[in-house]
Amino acid sequence: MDNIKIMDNIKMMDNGGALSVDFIFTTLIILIVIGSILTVVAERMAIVGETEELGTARMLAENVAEAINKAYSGGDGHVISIALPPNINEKIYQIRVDPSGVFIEIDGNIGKAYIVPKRISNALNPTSTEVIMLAGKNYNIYNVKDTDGSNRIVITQI
Amino acid sequence: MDVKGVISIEYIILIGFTMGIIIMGASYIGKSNELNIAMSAARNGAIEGANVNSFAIYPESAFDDYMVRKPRLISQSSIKIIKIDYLDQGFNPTYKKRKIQLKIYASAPSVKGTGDRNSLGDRINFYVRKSICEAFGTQNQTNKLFNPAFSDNLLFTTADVQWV
Repeated sequence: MDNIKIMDNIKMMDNGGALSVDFIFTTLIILIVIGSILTVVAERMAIVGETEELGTARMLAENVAEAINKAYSGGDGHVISIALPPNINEKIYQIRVDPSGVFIEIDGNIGKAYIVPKRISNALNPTSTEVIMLAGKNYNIYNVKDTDGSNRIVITQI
Repeated sequence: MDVKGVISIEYIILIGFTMGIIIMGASYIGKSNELNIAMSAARNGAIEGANVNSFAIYPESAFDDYMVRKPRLISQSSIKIIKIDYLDQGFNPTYKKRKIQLKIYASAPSVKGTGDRNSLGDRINFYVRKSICEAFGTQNQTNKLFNPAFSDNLLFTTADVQWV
């Protein structure tokens, strides 16, 4: 009778011990897996933010270039208005337009979008060949006919 | 008391044995986990490098150089990371760490020039090494090109990107 009780006790302790080891081992593995996943998720989220910044900057440069090309192809007197967002991903940026293209500068990086017209100026200085467009401002893009008969793009801040 | 004593010793032995296994397992898992984290960081870096190349928005010095010598890279490209392989090159006595060489396979059908592809590949490799250094906080142990990149027990180099 006593022997049976002893065996029962041993079995109970064995079972309890086995369960605890399983639990510790499982917890260890789960912690490692969760740690790895969290690291990957955090890194991927950072990449998504950087990609969004690059993508938005590229789209903005292409939009300005598209507006300039549309105004140019629209002929004399054609006007297109464009509103620039105040920032890209909380970062300040600047757009520079000259006859070779539209350049966007953000966080030390530069991208370029191509344009068709070769004569670009701003309203303040018609002889200038470079226009700076600032974040958060609105601009009108005009197609103006010069005295020699060729067309010029004039960009003015509204 | 005898009964409890016998059970208690058995239990202690069982726990001790299990702890030994766990410690050995944890050591092995820890080393494998380090390589897993590095490979994950490498993939993140490769994607980041491919994104920078795809959007064609570069640091000023690189942009100015491309404007003159590689105008194709000023326009956007479609770049896809196919896979990342690694080759264990054994223990490196100089750095006293195991050396792993990473090889990235990528596709950029719209970029044909060898020089252009080299520039794109160099940028992808740069971001791969940078990402590994950032994952392990070892930026201060390497040079400005992050070459080689270090983890706690490994060092990483990159082979030229294989364009497929």
